[in-house]
Amino acid sequence: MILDATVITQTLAAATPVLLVATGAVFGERVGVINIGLEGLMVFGALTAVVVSVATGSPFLALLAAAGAGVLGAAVFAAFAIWLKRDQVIVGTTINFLAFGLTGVWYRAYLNGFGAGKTATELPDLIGQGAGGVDALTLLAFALVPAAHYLLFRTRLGLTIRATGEVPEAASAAGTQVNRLRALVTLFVGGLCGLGGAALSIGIANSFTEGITGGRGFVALAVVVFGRWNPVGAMGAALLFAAADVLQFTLQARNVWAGLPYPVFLAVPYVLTLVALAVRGAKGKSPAALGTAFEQG
Amino acid sequence: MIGVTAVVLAARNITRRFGTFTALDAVNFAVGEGEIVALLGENGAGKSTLMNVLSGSLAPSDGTILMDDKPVRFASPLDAASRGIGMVHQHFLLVPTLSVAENLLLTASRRAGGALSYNIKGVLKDAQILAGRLGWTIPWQTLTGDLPVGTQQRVEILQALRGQTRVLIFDEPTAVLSPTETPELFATIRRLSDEGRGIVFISHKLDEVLALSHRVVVLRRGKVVFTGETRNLDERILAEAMVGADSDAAVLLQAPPGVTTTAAPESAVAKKALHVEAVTVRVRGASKAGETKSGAGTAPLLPTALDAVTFAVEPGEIFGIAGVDGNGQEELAAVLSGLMRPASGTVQIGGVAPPVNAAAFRRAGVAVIPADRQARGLAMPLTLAENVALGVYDSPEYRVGAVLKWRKLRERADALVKRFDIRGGGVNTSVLALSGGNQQKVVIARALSGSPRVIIAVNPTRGLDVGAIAYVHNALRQARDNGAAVVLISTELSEIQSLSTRRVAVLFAGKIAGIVAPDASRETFGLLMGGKRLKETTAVA
Repeated sequence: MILDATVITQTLAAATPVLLVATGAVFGERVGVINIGLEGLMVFGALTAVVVSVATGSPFLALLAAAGAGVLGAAVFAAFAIWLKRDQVIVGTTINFLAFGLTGVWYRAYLNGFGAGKTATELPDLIGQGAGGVDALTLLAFALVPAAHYLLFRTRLGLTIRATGEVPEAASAAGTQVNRLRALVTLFVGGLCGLGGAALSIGIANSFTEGITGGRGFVALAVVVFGRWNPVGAMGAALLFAAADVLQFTLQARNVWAGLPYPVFLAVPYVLTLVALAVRGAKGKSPAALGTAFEQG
Repeated sequence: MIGVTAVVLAARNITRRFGTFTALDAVNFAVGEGEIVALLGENGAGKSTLMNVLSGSLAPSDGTILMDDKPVRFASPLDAASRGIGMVHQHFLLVPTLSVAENLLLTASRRAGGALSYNIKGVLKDAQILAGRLGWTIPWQTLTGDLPVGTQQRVEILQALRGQTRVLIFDEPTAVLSPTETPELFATIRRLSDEGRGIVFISHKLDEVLALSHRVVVLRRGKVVFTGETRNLDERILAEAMVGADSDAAVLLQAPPGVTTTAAPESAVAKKALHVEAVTVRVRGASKAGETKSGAGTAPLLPTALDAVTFAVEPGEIFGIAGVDGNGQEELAAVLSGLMRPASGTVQIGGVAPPVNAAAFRRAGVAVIPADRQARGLAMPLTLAENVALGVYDSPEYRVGAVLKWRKLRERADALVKRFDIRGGGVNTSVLALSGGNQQKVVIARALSGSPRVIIAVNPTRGLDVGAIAYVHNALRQARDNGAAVVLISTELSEIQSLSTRRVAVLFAGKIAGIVAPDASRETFGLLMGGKRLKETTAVA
């Protein structure tokens, strides 16, 4: 029997990093900003969480620091992409390589320094234990979904965010400081990316490795499209990805189709993401002003 | 009207400069309670600048804005709106993917609630009361982008009418409307004026101005040149005031004696160099904007950018196309350059219709001097040699396989620099470094170097100084003398009149309103440009 309670909790845990980032990215894209650098911000948050957790022994301080690291990285993105109006895709790509490089150097320095031989304090489970446990970040990620939906569709702030991503001139005429709003949302998304990274490093793996994010920042971008720029839709898509991830892991662990090379299993969630995008992605319509700079008149 | 009612909003000696260009020059303007003031003027006369100043989008360089005789300064359009100045934009500031109700909430004042509130019911209730008073039925929950243009405009009006709006500015509101929607808009404007609101109505359509307004203010080149009560006015007076006699330009643009009489070379083929037959172009996205969501009833009114435009130009003729900007010039130029496929109709060069692409048109002998030389005419960062190489580099003379013979191309460029007197740099200079006049010389050098059969020149002297203008005009005359058929599309009437050989077509709303001789009176031109089809135009075949 593959389907037991631990499969469900494992799926929730596996969905957490993608969901946190995707919820943020829904807001980012709705306000008109496409940030390809989500992956890099996640890596940044993942390592920061481990280092702070080891240094302080407090996983909650580690979460705070990870969010801070994400905000910091997003500030760099905002400075170039929004303030200086550079191409968002290029700035985002640069942020990724910057994050991969910096965390690589930092991680080696940490391993040879005070981090030698130590393990991070893991995020404790609030409900259940071990494989059946659910930690604070998972609760936060899923609690954020209805809150995000409410904010986006049932408040003036959300309405302004949606209008800004569609016709920034109209939002501006209505009194919105378009670039300031975009920058603030970008920082918020950065914070969620940092938490998403922490969910991997001190939530699931309890350690940092290079390449820990495994493209989940990019998957989050696909999840946003698949979820039609809607937090609830994004949650569904994130769960689908996570279920595939847990499935491939379970299949490997139980030696089902053991003859297949393991990368085939690893590829399952990503192939599924591609298929999902192919089936559903074309129908969605992205915010009209996505990725464009706004000149305040 | 003025004098009877209290002046609500006034501009006193407003000047607005952009760099060295003076868009508004000590303009005085006022609108009273319940008064409908029409602001009339050609494109570029300063109408929009004045309204942007009065609605808080632009700060004046000099002068004062008064409300109720007290000086005010608008920090932003929102600030002006909160003080009762509303603006209905020509290009609606609506979010098409939001419902009508959401659009209204987006622009509702802060009093409707804070960032985390969602008082859509309250905002909707206010709007419904207003709409009821105006006799409108509006589908509040429909996405704005799915509504017909006339209804979208009503939403825009409802947005502008928030709170205590005392002055409402309409920026060319009929430009986007179908003929049946216009009377409904006028009824609305009259009702708003009856409620005591001041109305500013911007237009260049004389019949609309006469039908609707109480008073008319005419702007020309940034100055108020005429003010009058509408009941004392007619189309002739307004047309003259709008077009005016610009003596300076007229003298400057006088053709050298004898040149205008140059006949087409006898050797030229009797065939027309350019023959345009019933060319019709639909407005892009028109099928979407013209359809009503219900889809019921009459066939949707498709706005046409060009409507069955027919004319022919002979070798050795400069054929003028006059008209107020935005009446189909852009589309006509695109069709004549092979950049746009008309919905119907044909363009023939020397009796043959080339395939619709710019390269085929060029090979057929069409040279283009585009309206926007920096965007369409030149690759700005590239060098002069590279820019004039465009269009000829594929000739075997200048390449070996895929490799360009740069030495030959540079020699050619150097010859063009000398022949066309391009100053300010050599063949290796980036055209960015050249002055506007010399940039235009580069465009002209490239267009004329191949001895084209047909030349399409669109506003070829826009933004140039006096010397450069004379140069461009002479270049066009020379090309004509060499047997080219020149189509001169220009919004500068004096330019059209001095250059055109014997015929000028006036475009209005995508149609040729009339073809007249270049020396027809300015009054005739004014009427044609204002949309009056003259029954007895001095038709020249």
